[in-house]
Amino acid sequence: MRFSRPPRHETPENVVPLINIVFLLLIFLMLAGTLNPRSPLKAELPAASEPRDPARPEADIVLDARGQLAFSGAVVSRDQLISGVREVLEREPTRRFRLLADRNTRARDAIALIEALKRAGVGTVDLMTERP
Amino acid sequence: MQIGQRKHPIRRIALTPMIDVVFLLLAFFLLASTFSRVQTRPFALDGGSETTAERQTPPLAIILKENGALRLDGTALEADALEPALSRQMAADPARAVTIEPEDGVTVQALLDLLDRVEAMAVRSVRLVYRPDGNATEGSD
Repeated sequence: MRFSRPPRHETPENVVPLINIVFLLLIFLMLAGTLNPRSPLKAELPAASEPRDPARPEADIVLDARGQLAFSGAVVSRDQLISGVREVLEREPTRRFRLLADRNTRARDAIALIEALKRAGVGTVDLMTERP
Repeated sequence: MQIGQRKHPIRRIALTPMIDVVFLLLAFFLLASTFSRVQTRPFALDGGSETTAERQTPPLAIILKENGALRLDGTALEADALEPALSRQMAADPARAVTIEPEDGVTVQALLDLLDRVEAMAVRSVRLVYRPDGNATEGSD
């Protein structure tokens, strides 16, 4: 049995406009977005009501909503954090630490952590918030 | 004058591999980038800036409760009554320091909102109080 094939005269799909759009999207994302900092814990930035100077999105210390801590890319206990911070301070005594505390963390936990950092010798903690 | 025809026709550059790569890059940046705008609020922890003159009057203690209610120096306040009460106190002694102590169950967000409100009142020194022994006291200081 034989079927006659319809003759094929399809022109190839014109992909150049597509490439243009995709390139535009790519350039937009590269310029407008900053790379998401990798952290083992998820923490939502608390909102601030007053604008301050913009800052990098990387945090030194993360305190998530359940009170877990992360320091330099790993989940740590409070004691491990303090000893890690002490090591950093030995190299750079005036180092400031950027703390990302989830907006739903208990405030008492955050203050207790700041207090512990103070006792470890930290001079300034920068609490990260979302620009309004 | 006639230009001779090329023997070999120009081959079209294959676009498909490039499109593949560009799509991969696009997907990467879509997943890996963030648009949240970050700022930082500094907390100086050294505590060496207080002079003895400032220490003469005890700091004004604000206690923040879980439901948003406040206690200013032992007096219960509604959440929106803070500004007039605080400005009366600050008018009496502009150099007076303020301490903020959140009770159990208060979130970081609520604490930061209160901090912003207090700092907007031109308070010179705001401190956060940490009491390790559990429950916040009922405005005893």
